[in-house]
Amino acid sequence: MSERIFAQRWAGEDRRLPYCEAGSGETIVAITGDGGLPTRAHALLAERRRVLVFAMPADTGSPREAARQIVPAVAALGIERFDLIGERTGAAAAMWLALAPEAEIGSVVLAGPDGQPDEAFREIKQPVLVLSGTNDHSNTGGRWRALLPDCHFMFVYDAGRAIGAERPQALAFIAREFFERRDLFLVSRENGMVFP
Amino acid sequence: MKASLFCTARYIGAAPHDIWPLSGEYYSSDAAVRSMQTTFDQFRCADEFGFDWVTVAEHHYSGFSLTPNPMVMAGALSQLVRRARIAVLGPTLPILNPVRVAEELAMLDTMSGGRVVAGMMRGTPNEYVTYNINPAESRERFAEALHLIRRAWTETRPFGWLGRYYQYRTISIWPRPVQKPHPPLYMSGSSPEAGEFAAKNHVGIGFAFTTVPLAKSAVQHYRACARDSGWEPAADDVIYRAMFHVADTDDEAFADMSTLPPRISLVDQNKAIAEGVRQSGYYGSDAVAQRQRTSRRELADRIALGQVIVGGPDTVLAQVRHIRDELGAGVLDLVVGAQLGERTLHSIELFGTQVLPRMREL
Repeated sequence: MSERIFAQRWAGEDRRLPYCEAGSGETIVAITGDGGLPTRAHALLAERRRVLVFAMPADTGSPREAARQIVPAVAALGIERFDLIGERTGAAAAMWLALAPEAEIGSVVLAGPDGQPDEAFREIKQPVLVLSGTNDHSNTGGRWRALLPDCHFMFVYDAGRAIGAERPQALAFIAREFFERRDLFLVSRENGMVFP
Repeated sequence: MKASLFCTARYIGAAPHDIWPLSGEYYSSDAAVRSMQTTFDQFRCADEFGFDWVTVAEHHYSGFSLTPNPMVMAGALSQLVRRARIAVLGPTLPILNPVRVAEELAMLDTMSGGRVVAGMMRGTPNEYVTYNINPAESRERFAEALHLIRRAWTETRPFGWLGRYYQYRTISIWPRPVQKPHPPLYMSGSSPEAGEFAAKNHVGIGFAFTTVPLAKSAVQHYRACARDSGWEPAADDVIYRAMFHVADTDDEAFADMSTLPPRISLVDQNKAIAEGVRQSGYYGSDAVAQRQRTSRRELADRIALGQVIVGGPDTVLAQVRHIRDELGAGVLDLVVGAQLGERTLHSIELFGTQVLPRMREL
């Protein structure tokens, strides 16, 4: 499935907040830090879920302000509960969004988080999975993991920070597993039988 | 220059050496037990007479080697060999569970008090049939597994792995390596692809049953790639493996080696496997050279090409010097050339007492 399935829409007050949407079913909100364009990972998730992709709004000064804009925009679409993906600089916005009292978030996947995590993120109650590309030598993922002692942490082999573009199948697969099963995703459900 | 003794734990009963896979109909438990005891005796002898390392390796379904899991043999050696380093050269990485490999090598490093040398191999092509792994995936599996093992050894907190070939939800190995950050790593450097990968990832290289001219070209390539990656390999970053036999005189040594069967490429013994492996692209960009190194040759040619080291101590030292001068290798991995009981033990003793002290000066 191609990222071309996504349609551009507008949300928020005065419909000034752009986002892309595809798929149907329970909602995943993705906040990207690379211009907001959907990747193949988002398209793969949209095969089974409704996926809304927001970019970090360019005219906001901080991830926290971005979250403030996205929370009511999602609520205005009639979406009460959703899972979250924060990618690169979108990771901090996703965490602020998860901490917003009016948001009902299932679980959070941070893919190649960029920037310095805020101490306030320690208060997160939802299950968090941090993904770090093995080609990202900045150890940013490690800093996020250190701040979130209860999070799950996975290396994505042969990826930098743009995991959704570089390893889309891997990101979509593990995000789907984590959203569906949360902490139980640790236990495989894959069928190992070769021939019945 | 250092020396290692590589005893393959060859089956010493009566069985063909040119069939793969070898039928269990040829197997005698008594002969296998004697083979293991002979192996232990030779490793003990090497440790006693000053060899720096002892080497074990993985091979399957053949009397050529009775160590399908070299970790088991290395575990025994960790208690039997008191001084020498234990070089596992190595697990056939692409056909194994890499987390298990990391765990076992860390366990061995702990059992041996930090004496493990970790060689990660792609193995001989027939090994891919053993566990039904596609040889076309060999290089990619190898690369990913090596990266994963390094992470498993060095990451102090649990982590998961989303690879192309391997997936784990959480990894946190115990015990952990004694050597920091981890045991020295080696891999085969025979092909240009392997040399580039080793140089880029700061891994030492080894050559097994190749020729000195082929190895020389490969070492030059490896060193050039390492310079491109900003580092200069030391002599100990290059291992050269050759068969050896030393006797008191050249005549005795050559007479002993006349009993040696010709070098057999196990994969070439099974035409279907040989052709299937060739079609898979296993051999990489220099397939012709890769196949040349396993060609059948007479003993004199094998000596001239540095595949076999044989003679009295002075002759052997000259052959070792030639290898050192041509390759700049820091470690010579010596394969027991002829299973001749006491004469083989004497060969190990002669090398340790009359060649090795002078070899250290090279």
